[in-house]
Amino acid sequence: MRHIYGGPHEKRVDFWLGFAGWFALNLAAVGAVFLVSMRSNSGALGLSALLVLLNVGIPIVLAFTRRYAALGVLLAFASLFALTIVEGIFSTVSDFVGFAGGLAIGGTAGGNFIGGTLIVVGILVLIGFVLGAFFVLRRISRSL
Amino acid sequence: MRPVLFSVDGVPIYAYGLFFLLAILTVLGLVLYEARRRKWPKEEVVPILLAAFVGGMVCARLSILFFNGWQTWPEVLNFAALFDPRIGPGSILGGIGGAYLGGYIASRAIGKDGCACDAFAPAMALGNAVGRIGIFLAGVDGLGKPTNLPWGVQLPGDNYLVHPAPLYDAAFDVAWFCLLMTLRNHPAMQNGNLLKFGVAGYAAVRFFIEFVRNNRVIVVGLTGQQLFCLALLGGLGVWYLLRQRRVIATA
Repeated sequence: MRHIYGGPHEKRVDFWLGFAGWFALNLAAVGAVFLVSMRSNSGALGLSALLVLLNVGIPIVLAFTRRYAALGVLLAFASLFALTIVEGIFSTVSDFVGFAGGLAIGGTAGGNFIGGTLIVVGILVLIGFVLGAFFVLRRISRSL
Repeated sequence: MRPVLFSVDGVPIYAYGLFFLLAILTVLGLVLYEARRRKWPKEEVVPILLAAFVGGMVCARLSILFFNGWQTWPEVLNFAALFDPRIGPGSILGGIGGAYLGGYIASRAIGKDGCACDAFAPAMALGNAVGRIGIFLAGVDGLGKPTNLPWGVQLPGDNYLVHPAPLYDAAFDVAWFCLLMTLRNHPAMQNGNLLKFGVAGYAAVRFFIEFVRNNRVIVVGLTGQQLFCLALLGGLGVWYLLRQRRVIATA
């Protein structure tokens, strides 16, 4: 059932709930996967796979029910992907490189090199990214 | 080959990562330019663009299950690994499929009349060309099969030449971008037709490029990427036939 929004305030609340909720719920879920992995590796893998499927399914359902919450979820998802791509300049060496279990395909992982300079660069990239994301978010939120 | 383009104070700048970022920025810039030229409101462009980006990134990774085999599932279906910068994004074919699906779902969700996807067609072609340069410089998957052709390239540590397959892809993408830019205002290339034409052209050429690449063969000598291209072309063919039948019935 599609939700009919009463005004800009309700849209903004939904948008921010979607954005912050995505980070909060996924952070909790990743923590749960970590805890489960200490007892059962297969259980953790199954839980992580379920998390991927939920992260695909929930935004689709929200898009047709509460679209501004879906917009917040999408922006959260996209901002983390964007950060990953930017960090990839310093660490991505190939198309798809498995990082565990000897499943390396097409090369070897390049992220093994973590020096002091790389950490500083990573922090600078993160600060720049957070600042940029803040202005983008503010602009989108105000335009709702 | 130059997997590490250069170093800044000991920090390596990887060709693959840098060109992937440039490819994404190219697509983003061209789609925004095209959206402005077509006077699309930002209330429509922002969700469609976000959904296409997220859909593309997720499906690029998920498609590895098909292309590289089910044994990759612990890494492919690892949620945290989606955001691990050490692991590349996955397959561009899966990315294109996911971006299309994401954009389509967002279009339906916001109730947009017609299809916004034509703006993506030239952008995806040029973005792919940029990304392929990074793949060539990184020497991904050994570039291609051995060859004696004069333009064959030698990978470090090998004593034979291989097809520079990513450069074939990039050369086609640049030519295809020019053609799509020329056709973008044609009346027959509106409402999603330009994107379908663009994707069909890429799938057809990619099918043949795959013969000189090193991807995993799945069945009857064809790689997963080739099967994907055939399915895509078959799907578009069925769509075209159904549309023609509808046009004839209406007339």
